[in-house]
Amino acid sequence: MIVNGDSEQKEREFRELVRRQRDLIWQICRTFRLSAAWEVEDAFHEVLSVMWRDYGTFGGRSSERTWVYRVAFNTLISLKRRIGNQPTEEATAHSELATDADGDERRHYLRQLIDTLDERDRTIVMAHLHGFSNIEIARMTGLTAAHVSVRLTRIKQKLRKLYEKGI
Amino acid sequence: MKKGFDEFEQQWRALSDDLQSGRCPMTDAELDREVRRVVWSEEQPKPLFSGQRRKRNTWLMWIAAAACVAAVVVPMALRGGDADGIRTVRIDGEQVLFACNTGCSPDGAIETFKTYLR
Repeated sequence: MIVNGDSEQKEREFRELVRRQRDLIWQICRTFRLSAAWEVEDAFHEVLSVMWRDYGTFGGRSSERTWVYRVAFNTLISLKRRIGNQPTEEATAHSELATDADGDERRHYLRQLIDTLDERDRTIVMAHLHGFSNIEIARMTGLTAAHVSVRLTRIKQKLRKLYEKGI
Repeated sequence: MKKGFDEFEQQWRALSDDLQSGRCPMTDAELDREVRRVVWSEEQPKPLFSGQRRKRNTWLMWIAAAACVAAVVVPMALRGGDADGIRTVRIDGEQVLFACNTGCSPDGAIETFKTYLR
């Protein structure tokens, strides 16, 4: 196939971006519990497809890391909605975080509580847990940094109550 | 309560560490192949979704039906009649639609009619 210089340049830049952000993409894919048919690699491929499709819209307005996180997170939320929310035991074993392997039931329980949050709150919490600052989360969600801060405090209080009740 | 709070914070931080600890197991070469695969599949024409296929089939059905009707009607219109003997003729400057279903030749019937008018 013959591709012109612009396409080659775009692909080269995209490849570099994927190399730089590969761990973040992998971490997000691993976080989602999809169905048994979906391995982490499949989710990774799906995220890369959407990233490539939307690559033209990334104009450097947000940081590269924030853009990658937002695209990956939204892609996986849509994917999960599309394939259903009932993970099988096999799927859980594939995509569960290291918490189960360590036998840490409490961390696993906390993770389950986060999954019960509504989509916006879950996005905020997960981005925070992935190490994003309030300003970065604000850019992802369209809220102000102050609003994110207040929201995070409230979500944490709510989760703590549920956690203490359940333990 | 204090114990629970501390434990919650501890688990919160541990979960955060877990989430950020994963490393992508793909090598650079594998990653580049994956990117090429994604770019290549984007460049290919997309298969139609079932909804689009249904829509396309409906259009094809309408086009086929229109083609059938045209195949029958257009030659009839061009011939100016059908097998039963319909003709459009000009008699004394007037356009007349002449129908004949008696089994005789339409042209013969027209001549008979012209004779009758005279």
